[in-house]
Amino acid sequence: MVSIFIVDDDENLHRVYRSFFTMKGIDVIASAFDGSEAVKIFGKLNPRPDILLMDYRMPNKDGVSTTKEIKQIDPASKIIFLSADETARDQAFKAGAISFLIKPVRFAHLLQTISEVLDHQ
Amino acid sequence: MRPPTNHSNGLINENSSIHRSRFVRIIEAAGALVVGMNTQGQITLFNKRCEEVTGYSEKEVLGKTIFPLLIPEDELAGVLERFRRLVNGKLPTYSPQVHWITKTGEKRLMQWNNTFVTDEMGKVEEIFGIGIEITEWKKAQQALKESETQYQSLFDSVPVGLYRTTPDGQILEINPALVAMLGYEDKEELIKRNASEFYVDATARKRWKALIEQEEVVRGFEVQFRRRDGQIIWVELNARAIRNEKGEVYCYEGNLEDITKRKETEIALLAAHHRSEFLLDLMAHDLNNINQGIMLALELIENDDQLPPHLRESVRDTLAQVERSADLIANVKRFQSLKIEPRLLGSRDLSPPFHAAVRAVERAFPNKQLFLTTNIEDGKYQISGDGFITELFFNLLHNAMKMDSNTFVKVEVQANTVEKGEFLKIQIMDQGPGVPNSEKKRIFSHYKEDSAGERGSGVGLTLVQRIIQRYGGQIWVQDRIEGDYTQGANFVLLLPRGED
Amino acid sequence: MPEPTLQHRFQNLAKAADVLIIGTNARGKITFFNRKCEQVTSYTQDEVFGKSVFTSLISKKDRVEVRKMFKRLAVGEVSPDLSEVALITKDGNQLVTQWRYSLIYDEKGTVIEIFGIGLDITEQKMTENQLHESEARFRLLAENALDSIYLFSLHPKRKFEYVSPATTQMTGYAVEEFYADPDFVIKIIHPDDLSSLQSMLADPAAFTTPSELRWVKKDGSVLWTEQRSRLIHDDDGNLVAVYGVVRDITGRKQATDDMQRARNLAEFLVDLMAHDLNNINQGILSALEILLHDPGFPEQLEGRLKDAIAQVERSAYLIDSVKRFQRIDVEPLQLKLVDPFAPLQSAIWAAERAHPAKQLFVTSNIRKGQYQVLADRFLSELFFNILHNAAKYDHSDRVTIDVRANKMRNKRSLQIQIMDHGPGIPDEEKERIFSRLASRRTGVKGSGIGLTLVNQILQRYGGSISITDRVEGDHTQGANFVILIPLKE
Repeated sequence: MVSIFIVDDDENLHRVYRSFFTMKGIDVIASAFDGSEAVKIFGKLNPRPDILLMDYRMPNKDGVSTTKEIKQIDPASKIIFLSADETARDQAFKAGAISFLIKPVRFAHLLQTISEVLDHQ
Repeated sequence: MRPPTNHSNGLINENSSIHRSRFVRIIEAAGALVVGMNTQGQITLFNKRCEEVTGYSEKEVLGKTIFPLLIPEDELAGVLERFRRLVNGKLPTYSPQVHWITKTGEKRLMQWNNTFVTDEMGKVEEIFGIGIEITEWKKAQQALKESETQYQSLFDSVPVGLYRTTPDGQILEINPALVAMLGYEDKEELIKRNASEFYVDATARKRWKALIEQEEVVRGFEVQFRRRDGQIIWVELNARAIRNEKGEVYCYEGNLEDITKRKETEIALLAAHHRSEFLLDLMAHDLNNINQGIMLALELIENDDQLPPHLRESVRDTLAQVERSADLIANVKRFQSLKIEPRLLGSRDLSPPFHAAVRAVERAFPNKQLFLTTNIEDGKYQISGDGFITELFFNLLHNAMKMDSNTFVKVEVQANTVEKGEFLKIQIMDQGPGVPNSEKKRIFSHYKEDSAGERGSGVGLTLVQRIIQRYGGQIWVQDRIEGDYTQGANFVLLLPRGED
Repeated sequence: MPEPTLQHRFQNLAKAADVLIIGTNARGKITFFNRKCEQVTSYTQDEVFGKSVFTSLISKKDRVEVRKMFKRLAVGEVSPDLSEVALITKDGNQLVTQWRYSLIYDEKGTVIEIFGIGLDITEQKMTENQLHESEARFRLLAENALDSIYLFSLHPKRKFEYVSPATTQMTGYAVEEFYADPDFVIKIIHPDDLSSLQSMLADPAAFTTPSELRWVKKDGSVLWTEQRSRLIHDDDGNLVAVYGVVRDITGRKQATDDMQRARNLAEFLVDLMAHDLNNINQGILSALEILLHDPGFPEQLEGRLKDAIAQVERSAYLIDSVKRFQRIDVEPLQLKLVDPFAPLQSAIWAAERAHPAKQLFVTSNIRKGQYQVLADRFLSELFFNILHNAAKYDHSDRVTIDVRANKMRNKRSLQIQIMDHGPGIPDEEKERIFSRLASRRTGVKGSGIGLTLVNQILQRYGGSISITDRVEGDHTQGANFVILIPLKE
């Protein structure tokens, strides 16, 4: 079963992501509402998630900084950015993101990206 | 003839071999005027140079009193007074500047050296004047003085600050306007200060110095100064470096203007701009985030097996509207970047973006129905445009839909080629309430006059106009039925055609 | 007149003459040196007789020139012009002297003596130099100025008395064209500014307020200028002249115009987005409401649909805030006495509505009629945004917020603390959080507009806001928003 870690400061999005992934048989193993929390939780996660879904603009620590720190903890982690801010694209890839999606995206597109990332493995 | 060597006391004595005529020649040839007078002021000697300058011959003037013959009236009193004192032995030799009046009435200025000869008793016998004409020199001097006065009064009166300072900040020159600008009582108080003391940011003068030493001229350097009373003002410096013969900068000279008001306006403008950009960015970002939530929630509903098929269509329509919202946000962001990005216009088929707009409008009004008649078909018309064509027609059709209070909204869109094929004319005719004549021009620029208002589709139509301007086209509104605006509006667009 | 008398007179004259007389032979050896020479140079005639005039008297810098002149004099060429020569006195001082020369020939017509009659013009020269310097000082400041400087006289004749060279650089026209025609400015003014210029000319008092005018340069391009002037009146109060400075502001004008355009565009786009998205939201909302009330819509999906509706409402709230934000600056400031009780209560109500999925517990020690602060209708907005922010970031279902008010010791302002149990705000964020405008794209969203709005409202009131930790030293225990609002005087 594919596992996923959702990092986004929007509570509503957490709810819909969770419903959707559950429906599609993807296991949401952790959620974080800001960057600092994400790093903290990620450090303790065992096993690591197959995929991280990362927002960019969040309180305390943005998605790019968070990605850098998570990549330091586990260079193999696969991080998909899902942001409403397209300007962060280059920074995100530089920090180690594997894909970058602009909000809003359709589920089909999100699922396809996840499976591409996993196939790539 | 040997030069004289026997001068016991510096005088030329009777015994010397120098002939009398030699002195006459020396003095005359030297171009000096020599005039001799007795104690009554009667002329006893009038040399050749005097004759040349005045136009009188010696014969004419010998025995006549020099005043008032040669001395102008306004100088007479002074000359007479000095002459009297000279005769009385009360005035040593002196060198006055006195005008002479020539025979033809011209005034000539002479620098005189007067001296007198005494008899054995020490009584003044005769007075001599040796004179050199300085009319021209004096004129030049006068002109210089006038010029100096003029420039000085310019310097004192111009309403901008003028100054000259040394590289280490010593103030050499400063005009009253600048003294006042910096809030000082007088120049003397100010001149004791160092120029660097006025800069609020001490490093600013260093930066300015580096710049001017390199560029020679620095224009429009904007910096904050502290006035004497502590008040901070913005000033603009314009200056150049002045170098000495060795090429070293020995001073800067320039002007200085108080630009506080302008700067405040600019800062306010910039702040307002930043605020709008911030709001735009924030709105675009957060709304996309929210849209993500709405979209996914609707998708969950759409994909749920429990949803009856007849409602699935309506969920899809709503999803399309969420997408339209996302499109609009993307478009606005693109529009914002229009000012930076060069225009990328290309030939495009009008039909696909037009019909996309029609579908979007239909979805935007689920409770109304659009009856559209048009001659726009795939491959039929090419226009020169970019990704905003859908936006353009969406706004025009949206406006027609919105203004028409009927549930069934009839709109006719006709395209045809005009202007020798250079333009495509597109008419969008509705049967809504129409646009009264007084509104016809204003309708496209509503947002300026009435940015807070919510009237009509001002914002949408302004966007329409901007897009058309961008394409090099034109738009206006007329009555669908000429003369009766209540029968509906006809929006006429002229768009440059693309290549077929 | 008998000759001996005349000769006697000349001798006396030469002796006493107040002019310098020096005689030399053709090679420049001194043969005659009168008393005046002795006085001014401090040399006695004995000291200089037989010596070369060049080496003993003439300053080094002039020596070459004077030698050349003596060579010409020695062959009988006398220049009618005065020659200026610097002499060095015995004490080493420099004198400026002016000379004319005459020559003595022998029977064969050979020059045997050269006589110079000279004036000591040292003092005159000094005055002249000072004048020169002073003139140059002022002239250069005007001539070198990068702005155009002019003096226009209106009386007795209308004409330019002075136009600085910068004018040519700015306009392309020679200064002579301005001198020749007092109305030359009319010819080169930009057609759109002609009427402004004409009305200024008709009433020169208008020149004193800085004004912007456009001109057409000789090359056809447009020049933007800003001009400042000073009027000069005669003793009777008649306007006689105008001093003015004209600055080229073309570059600045373009920059400001660009800025203005960019600002208008940004403002326009905010309006556009707010307007059109509201329209779209309305469409979405209607469609969702229709679905919700459709008897065929499955009950199990209602929760999800309501979620979506809440999101559309959230979107509407955001758009509304943005519009309010745009407008708050425009609203004239009119502070009045406000009891904070009611605004707080309505803010709590609004926050509860905005978070239907959560339970809000807001405690407050503010009683009705207890305080009067200087505020306006935005006060409720202020409270709402802080409560809304607190509820948003507190991820538990039960959100507890404590509001505590007390008068400051100086009695000038009311302190209101709003304490939440959310994730808190780390120190490095505490200051930045209210100034999103200054730090765009910091990677922080959501809270941005609300708290920036709070800050903006407080600035209107002359109040302030800061954030501390609810539990001192541990920011993770929640934030404490500390507001100061001025009380009535």
